[in-house]
Amino acid sequence: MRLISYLANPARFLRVSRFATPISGWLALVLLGIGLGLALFFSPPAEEHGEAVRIMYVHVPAAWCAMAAYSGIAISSLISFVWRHSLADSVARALALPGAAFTFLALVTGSLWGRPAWGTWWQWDGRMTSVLVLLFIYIGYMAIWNITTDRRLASRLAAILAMVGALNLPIIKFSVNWWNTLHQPATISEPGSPGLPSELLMPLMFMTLGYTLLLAWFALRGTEAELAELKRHRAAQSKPATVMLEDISS
Amino acid sequence: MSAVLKILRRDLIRAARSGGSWTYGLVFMAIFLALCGIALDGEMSILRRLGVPLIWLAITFAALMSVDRVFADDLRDGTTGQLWLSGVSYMTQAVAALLSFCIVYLLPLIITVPLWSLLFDLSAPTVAGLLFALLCALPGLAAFTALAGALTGARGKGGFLAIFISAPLLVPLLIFGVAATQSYQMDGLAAVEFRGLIGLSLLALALSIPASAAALSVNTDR
Repeated sequence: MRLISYLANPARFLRVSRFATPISGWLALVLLGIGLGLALFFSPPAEEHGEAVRIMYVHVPAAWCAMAAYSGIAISSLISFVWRHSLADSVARALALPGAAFTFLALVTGSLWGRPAWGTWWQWDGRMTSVLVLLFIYIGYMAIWNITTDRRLASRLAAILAMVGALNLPIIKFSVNWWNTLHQPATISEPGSPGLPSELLMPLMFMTLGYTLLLAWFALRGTEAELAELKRHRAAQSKPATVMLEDISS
Repeated sequence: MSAVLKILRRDLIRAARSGGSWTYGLVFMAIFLALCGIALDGEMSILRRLGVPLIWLAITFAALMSVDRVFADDLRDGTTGQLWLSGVSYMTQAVAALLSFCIVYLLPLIITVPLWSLLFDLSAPTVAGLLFALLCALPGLAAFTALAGALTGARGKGGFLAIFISAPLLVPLLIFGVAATQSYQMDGLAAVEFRGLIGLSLLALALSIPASAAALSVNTDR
């Protein structure tokens, strides 16, 4: 809470993000490089999946980031709606496009993986349908921002939608347990789950960390851009009005 | 409570005097279903199987088409703000609008379902299951479309935005609705899908009414 209040000041946020942005960006690049190297060349093919298991290294982190980005949007929306921190709006807005992109990536890579693993590009099962719904929610969220011209109005309407849409997150998480589906249930995160052998887990960890830092870079960069845009807007508003003599029609 | 009833009465009178604008949903549904029948080449064996999902789709689309009628008129001419000034809370207004939307726009669609089912040669138990499932889904359907209407407010381009917003929220209702209709043949009203449907509807009401009220207060700039 203290951290949120501290960062809510745009000037302080910019001071922090001046260091945080390049660090997360370069670190993401390095980690993704290492992760991709491990995933493509140094990890063995899995027993059941063969070489197609390498899709996992791009699919799982993308899905994780899609959920993380939406959770971020929902939390910042709550903060902006309750405490009216306008920076939270900027963060939520900056997270929307990368989040939608990661959702799309997760769907596409999942489809590409589904073909060799299940023999079908698409199946209307719980996990896939709910992630598709997540993509639609992202689109609706961005549409509210784009269609509403008044920024304050847009931010609050978008926050309401984001909070209602957060209902979808637990559905995505538990869809594999509630419905018997093709998609495999949680392999790593839950106690008692089978887990992965370390030669597969290592590249996945690198990729997940890299993806997350990439998402952080997008969010920080987007927030900075939004703040710069607002500043430019405000500067133009507070400039004294000037009228040239040529402008006045005689 | 009396405020809700008064707003409801006003909406009913307005619908009766509107020269039949409340029938647009019905007309849309008739055209949509007729086009579906024609596009499927009138093949009764296919139509019988697709009838239930098509009617569900038609009702969902018809509800989406009338989204901008829930709050837009009141927001545009300032009635919402005036009511708020005279002590009618946004929550009350949201509840009243929800009720009148159900009665004026959605109930006619559901009541005429037996008529539409003739187009698809549906059996009597199927029609009964369809009606029960639709009635269970009605509050949820109305709640989410009303939320979309409240969020888009009086904006001109609201229609498309409302569809963007409410379509993803309506997906679970559609899934459980079609499933409930199909399992009615086997288990009757005891089918687990009906409980799921009612639960979804209640959840939708609980989420949408406060959210619509908040959206109304944003849209009247308070």
